[in-house]
Amino acid sequence: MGAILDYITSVVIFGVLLLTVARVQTNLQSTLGQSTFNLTTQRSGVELARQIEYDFLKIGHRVNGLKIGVADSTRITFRSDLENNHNVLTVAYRAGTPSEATYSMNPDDFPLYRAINGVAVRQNFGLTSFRIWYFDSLYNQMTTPITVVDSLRKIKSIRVRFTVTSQDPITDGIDTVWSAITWEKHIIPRNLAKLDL
Amino acid sequence: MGRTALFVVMAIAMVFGILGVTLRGSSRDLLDIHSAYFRYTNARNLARTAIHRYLRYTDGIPGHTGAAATAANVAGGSYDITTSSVADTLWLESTGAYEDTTYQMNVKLLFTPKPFPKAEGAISIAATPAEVNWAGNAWVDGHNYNAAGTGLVGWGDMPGIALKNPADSADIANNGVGHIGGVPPVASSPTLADPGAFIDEYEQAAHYLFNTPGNVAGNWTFGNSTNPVIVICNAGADTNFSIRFTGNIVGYGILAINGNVKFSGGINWYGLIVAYGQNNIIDFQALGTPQIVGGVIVAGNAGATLTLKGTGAGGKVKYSSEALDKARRIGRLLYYSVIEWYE
Repeated sequence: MGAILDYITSVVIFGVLLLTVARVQTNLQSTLGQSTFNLTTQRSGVELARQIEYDFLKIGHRVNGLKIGVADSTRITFRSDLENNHNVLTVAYRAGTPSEATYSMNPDDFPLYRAINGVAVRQNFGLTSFRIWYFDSLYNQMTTPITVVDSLRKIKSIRVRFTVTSQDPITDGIDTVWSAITWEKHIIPRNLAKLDL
Repeated sequence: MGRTALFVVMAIAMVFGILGVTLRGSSRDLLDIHSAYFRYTNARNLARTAIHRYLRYTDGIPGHTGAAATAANVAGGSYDITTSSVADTLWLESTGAYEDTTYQMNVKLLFTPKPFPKAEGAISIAATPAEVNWAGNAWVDGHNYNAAGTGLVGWGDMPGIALKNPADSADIANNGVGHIGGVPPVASSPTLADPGAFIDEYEQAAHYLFNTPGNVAGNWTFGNSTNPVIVICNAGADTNFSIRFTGNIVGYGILAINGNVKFSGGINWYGLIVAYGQNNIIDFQALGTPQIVGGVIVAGNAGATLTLKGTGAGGKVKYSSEALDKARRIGRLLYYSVIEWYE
């Protein structure tokens, strides 16, 4: 009788231990998933930030005439000798729509299109927000869209803000969490502003 | 049973171990991403610092005199900068380095002098009414001399004295007979620029400041033809008090005078003299050959008078567009326009 009781007790303890371990493992996997999504999201954010800085700081480099052709809140087209090889390119950025992001579980994210001389590349950073503001030489914010050539010439600086969100949620059984990073910068392309040093 | 339990425990330990390593790796990767961006922004800031620092040394502003460093260690990183220039154009190639990250900028700038009052004669008087008094052998010549004042260039001759108020021209012409040469000797120019607006900037950018009446002993050399400077002599409005230079003075650039300033030694000034007080007495007392090559402008203070005294061989004011052009290129009065900026 005593031996049977020992067996039953050990089975119960083993079961409790197994459940505890399973729960700990679930939590660990959730943390690992969260960490991985954080990593991916932040990497995407930094990559996009560096790309925008790389492109936008060169706006108007070695360009005669109109440097910015389209200036709207979610798209911009500008000209620049991007590679510093005396070859002026037309660069365009355009934010897509959530319906174009069928690859993602995130219902709010959308792709970003970066085009060089009309050849667009879809970039899936997991953007859930992308906004561009334009400022004149007195740092007055200009109303978008800017369509008049005289107004386009007055653009001297640009502020960009975006939010990158993980394309898959982190679910811990209770909550659904999206990893996100927001980046914002006021960029003064020196070839636009012609600042005096 | 015991062996099975051991395997179970080992398997669980392995799973936890793998998860732990992955978590640590993930944290390290996250840190690497942020650290890389931090290094990148630092390297960029250092490259920019190199450009601005070089330009401030070129300006020669206080605290930044001498040759600019072409390489330096700053804020845990370093930069190096190479430069070349042709006439008014300056090329800078700057590289900032922070740990393993570098950032390069290629910049083309145009030197541009700040707005400069235009001399429309050997002496231009923006004040109305204007009064010029003569004593001794002082004389003024509006013919265009070279920058050294040793010969005429043959073009660009100007009036000896240009006045803003046409009504004053007859009086000054009569008063200055024998003292004024030029094409014509005296002329009126209603659009004459008032240099008064520039004085604050000159005072802030001054290389030398004399603002205490009394004797200034010794010989002085202010700048040179390729490195002109700004000298302020402010003796105050009361002409009973004067700043008196007793030695020989040689200067290049802008000399701004307020009040009674006497040059009892020899003076040779190449560039612009701005008289910006109510009563200005510029007194050449030397027996030698004092001269101003460039131009004199009297600011538009109401009732301003200019008294030129020349003893001995006389005091001369010779118009020179070359000397004035050189005076415009004072480092502290230059700014740099961006022609190309690639980073």
